[in-house]
Amino acid sequence: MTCQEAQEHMMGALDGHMPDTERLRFQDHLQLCRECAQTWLALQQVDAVLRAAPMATPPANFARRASRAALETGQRQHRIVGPLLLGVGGLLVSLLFVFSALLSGGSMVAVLTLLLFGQLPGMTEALIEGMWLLLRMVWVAVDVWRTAFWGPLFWPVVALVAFSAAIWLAMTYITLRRSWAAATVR
Amino acid sequence: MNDPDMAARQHQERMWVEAALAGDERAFEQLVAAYATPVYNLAYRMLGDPAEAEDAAQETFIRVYRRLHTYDPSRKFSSWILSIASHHCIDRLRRRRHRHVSLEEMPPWKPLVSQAPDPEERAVARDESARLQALLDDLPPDYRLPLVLHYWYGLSYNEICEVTGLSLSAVKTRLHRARLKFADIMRARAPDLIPSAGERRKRAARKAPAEANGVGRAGTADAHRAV
Ligand SMILES: [Zn+2]
Repeated sequence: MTCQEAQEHMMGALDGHMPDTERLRFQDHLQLCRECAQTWLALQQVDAVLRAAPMATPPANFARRASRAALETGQRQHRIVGPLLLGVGGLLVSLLFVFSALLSGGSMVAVLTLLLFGQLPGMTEALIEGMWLLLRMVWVAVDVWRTAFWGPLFWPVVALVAFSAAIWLAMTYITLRRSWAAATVR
Repeated sequence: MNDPDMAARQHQERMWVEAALAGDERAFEQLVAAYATPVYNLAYRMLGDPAEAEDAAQETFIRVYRRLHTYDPSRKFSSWILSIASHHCIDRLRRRRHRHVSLEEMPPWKPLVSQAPDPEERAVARDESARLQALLDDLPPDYRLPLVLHYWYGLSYNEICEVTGLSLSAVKTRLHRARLKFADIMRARAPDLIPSAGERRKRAARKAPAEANGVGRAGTADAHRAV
């Protein structure tokens, strides 16, 4: 057995998976080779010291504190979801409001017609009618945007969108900051 | 590894996980109580500082709670939780290494304590366990982790792979080098810790890591009694 082989066998010998045939050859090598015998002794000493090392125990109330901290941050996470949904919902509602304000009454009728088309007897006609109305609706919307851009409606609309976006961002920021603080402060 | 105690414990843990997932806070508290010592010990052996170990162990339990729904019940719960703790400790050590680049950020009280005027008094205050820890702190973290998992938790090579995500050959190499390096450190810095031949035989007979079942030795029994 070479020194390198002997070194490789030391792991197996310490951790209890070394075949008996190898063990004899290993021991023969240790008899002959002073250097490997010294390494083997040192490894056995390390093994004995580390096996005897105790588990370090945390302070007595640690488990209680740790579980409370985990449960509290978990609950905070649940608390984020509510405001976040509220924020997103608010944004969507305000956008819907803005767009429906922009759309003329005629194009809202088109949307309602499309919703009804499955129940009508003349389906194809209804579909064509609906598509046509939808196209008209888009055109009307573009037209309203165009006139609004030049007209007095433009700036109130932009202000409304900016306002709702700002509220949404602020709410998101506040809730996230609170949960970060909870995660870092013990 | 098929002893009935261990099977019963794994079953119990699975019940706790299920109950905790269903919103039972008491079940989660019992999981934490059962793993407080193993997780804290891992953090202490890896980080070397009791206060930081406590912090890291608590952070581990916060992560465990958040990720409980990702736990795969076909795996051992102990491997899963030790893996979360190990990764968190390695992250902390990495961050610490970056921080050490700037000396201004070092806390001012640390050098004061280590330069205590009376070295004899310090030697008395430091018990054998703390000295052992000081030696362990000198190992590179990559070597320290397999060593800690093997000796304090009785994990086999394959179980260490599962916890650390390393390959089998990497685990074997690191464990071997860790032992060799630890032998050097011990010889150089604490020759009095080296046991005599007779003492060594007695210790080896008393405790064999292979007998420990999954989550560490004395500490687990204590933790389970505390439940
Ligand atoms: Zn040799």
